[in-house]
Amino acid sequence: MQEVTRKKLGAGVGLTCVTTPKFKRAVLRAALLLPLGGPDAANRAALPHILRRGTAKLRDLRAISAALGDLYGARIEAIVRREGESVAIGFLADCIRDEYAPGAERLTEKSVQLLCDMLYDPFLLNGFFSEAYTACERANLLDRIAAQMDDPRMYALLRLRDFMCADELYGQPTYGTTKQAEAITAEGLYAAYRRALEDARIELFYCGAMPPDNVAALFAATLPERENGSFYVPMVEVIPEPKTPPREYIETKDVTQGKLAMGFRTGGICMASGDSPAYRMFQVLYGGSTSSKLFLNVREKQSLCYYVNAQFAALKGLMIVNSGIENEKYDVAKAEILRQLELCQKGDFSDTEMEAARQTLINGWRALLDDPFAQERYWLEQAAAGTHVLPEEQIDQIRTVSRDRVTAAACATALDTAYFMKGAARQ
Amino acid sequence: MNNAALHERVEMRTLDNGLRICYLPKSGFSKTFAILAANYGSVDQSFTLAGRRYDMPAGVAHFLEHKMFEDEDGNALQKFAKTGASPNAFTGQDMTAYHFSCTERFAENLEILLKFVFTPYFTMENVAKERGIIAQEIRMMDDTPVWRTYTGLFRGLFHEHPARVPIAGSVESIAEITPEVLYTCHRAFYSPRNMALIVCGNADLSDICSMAARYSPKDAATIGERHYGKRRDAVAAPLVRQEMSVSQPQMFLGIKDKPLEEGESRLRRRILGELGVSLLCGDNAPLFAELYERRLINRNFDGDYKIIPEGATALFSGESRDPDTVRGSIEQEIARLAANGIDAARFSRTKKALYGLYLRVLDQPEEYARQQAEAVFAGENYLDFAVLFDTICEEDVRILFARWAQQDRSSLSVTEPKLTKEECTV
Repeated sequence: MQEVTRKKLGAGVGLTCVTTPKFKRAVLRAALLLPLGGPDAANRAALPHILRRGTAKLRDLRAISAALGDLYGARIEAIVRREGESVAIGFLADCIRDEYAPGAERLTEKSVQLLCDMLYDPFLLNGFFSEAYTACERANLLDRIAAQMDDPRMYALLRLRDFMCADELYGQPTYGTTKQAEAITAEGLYAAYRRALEDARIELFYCGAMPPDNVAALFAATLPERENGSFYVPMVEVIPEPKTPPREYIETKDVTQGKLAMGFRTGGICMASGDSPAYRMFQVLYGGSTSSKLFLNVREKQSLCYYVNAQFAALKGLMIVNSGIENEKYDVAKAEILRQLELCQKGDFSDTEMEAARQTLINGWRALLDDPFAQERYWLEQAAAGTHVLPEEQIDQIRTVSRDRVTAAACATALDTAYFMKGAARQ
Repeated sequence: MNNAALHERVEMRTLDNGLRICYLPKSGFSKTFAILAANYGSVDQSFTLAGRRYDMPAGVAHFLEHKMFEDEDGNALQKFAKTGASPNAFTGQDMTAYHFSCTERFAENLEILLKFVFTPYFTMENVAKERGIIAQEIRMMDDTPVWRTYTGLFRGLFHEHPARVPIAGSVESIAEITPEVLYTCHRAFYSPRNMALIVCGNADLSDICSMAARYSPKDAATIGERHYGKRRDAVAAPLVRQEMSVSQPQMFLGIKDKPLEEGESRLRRRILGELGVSLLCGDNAPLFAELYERRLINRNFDGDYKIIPEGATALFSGESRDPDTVRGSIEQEIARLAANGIDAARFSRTKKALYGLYLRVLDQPEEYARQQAEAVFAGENYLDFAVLFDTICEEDVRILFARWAQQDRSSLSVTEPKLTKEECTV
């Protein structure tokens, strides 16, 4: 069994410890939470990557690689992750426990130290990041921005967000704009780094066997001095209903299969407010499993697609339906997806479907406890929402959701924007 | 290090009909994962059964996997749904596997799994319906640059081997699949003797065994004898090029290795192969840092080692603005290490890091069970990795590199950005 402990390590610094002996490793994260978008967006997206290049002690990739190898292949990877209207930048790490590493000692302690060195004590030249590292990471960031279109499934979702949330902070690109990225300089990047350290909400995470007090002491010893000013408080902007009648955008791309992405507003139901347990039940019943209405009708009955699903972006209060279909089946697929939603809104679902959705969710929350990386994502999302709900509490909430509440959640759902990427490639 | 020090236990038993069963207890875990696997994959499309040779349409193993879920009394996915279990299946080049994970009602779910995998039910109608769904799956994969580049590599590596063909086949090849074709393949390879059941989590071995005995065929049918074409050491093509709408070139470099020898440990070969790959250009290798600094690779650049029936290959993959130079650097490094041997500190560090990856698998019930299924088919136990690591020395890797350094062993598959019409006219 596991214990979750939440500790405040200083002004604007929170640590979540999941204490359990069941894993053979420890999972760690140190992230700076900052607002999405703004003039620093591209700098922020480049930051963890340039910090990963060298610390004051280990000045280049070779030195860092060798150190990680000696820690039995501890892994420390840069993260740039959207969480609602926030972006989390920092590092995610894991290392195996000493008792499974012959001849090794204090692997976790050393990994925390290296992780924190990367975040707080970077390799500098003349007081700034090195020009060479900056040039390289600027180019890598431009590559990452361009590469977002390489996977058409992901790109369709991104385009939907561009169109649907164009007027919202949420619609800002994760990595900043190409123009911002091209303008990155060693000096500007370093200044953005100092600002980020001053302003950010710092979210730390540990999952493993070490007692929380020891973990807290390890992280606390590395924290930078910060002026006790105001730190970023993660914010979420929920738009309960579409502001216009449903919008539709169709683009042509060089793919063989059409990609359909539909964005719905949830009537304001999100992690921080409204009946989110009922919404989750509705989403699973509608399109969240292989016994959902979308899977059974759009795929199994009508053979329109291989994949079709509905996801609940709970932090923001959006539901997204996503499918790959033949180009000429756009109207048929879209109509069927909406018809299934209507059936949910009319309460046209069986008790068996209700219970299947409930069991799927309970199973999912329990399974979360077996995956340290899934728990890491869970707790960062909780931090971004400003909530602290245990997965076990989610299970209790799901148990009592009634049919009327599921219908109400479905009725709160309204289509905002449909995006279709039409394939132009020859088959 | 020995198995006991890993604090893991494996309980194994073989039923009278030949079905191998393996239980991996995971105390403290909420979920139990079960996987029923057939030692049969996309490369097993040609075989002889009862004196008759069959050359089945490409993609048949994958089609069969889709169709198995359907039974006369409904779809197994819906039966699992009632218990809240999450079921799924996959087809690889050398394995087809059906699995579920659940946090309660394990016995009920295991019964569903055993029943549907051992009970074929195909009709003209349900096969025709599935064709539409699989055609969309194939189109989806066709639009995935990494997948296209990966399948291109196998066309470069092999001359006749069925690994040349993508796992799901093509829209054309699956048009030839009929209920009869599916029944024949099920008969040829879904014999309990050719299968394994792995359970990881919280269950009881004797319960698992008695259920498996009840719901699997009493007698084991004869397994089809498979044909992979003529074996060749050299690659079929040193370069395979495609174009797609991508932002920069995607690459898969393969170094063709010799197939597994009779009696050779598959697990040890895999560790050795992965160690070779890590030493050359893994995360912790100096060459990785050099290529990264020269902006020839990024953090996603990855290495792997793959063993299939009658074949094996080292793999290096990622995005690169200059795949040829990356290939040249890796080939040079192979030649250098084959000639000069490997620095002891670097060897030990790389081995430790790889050991760390094998150990992490034990934290992931799905992956652990999948690895164990592979090991069971090779007559091995995944947990022996700890012992096998100790048997591998610098000289083993040097010999491996000497093999990789031979002429005509490498093939590069590249997907290059397609120029748009406007760009073409410039």
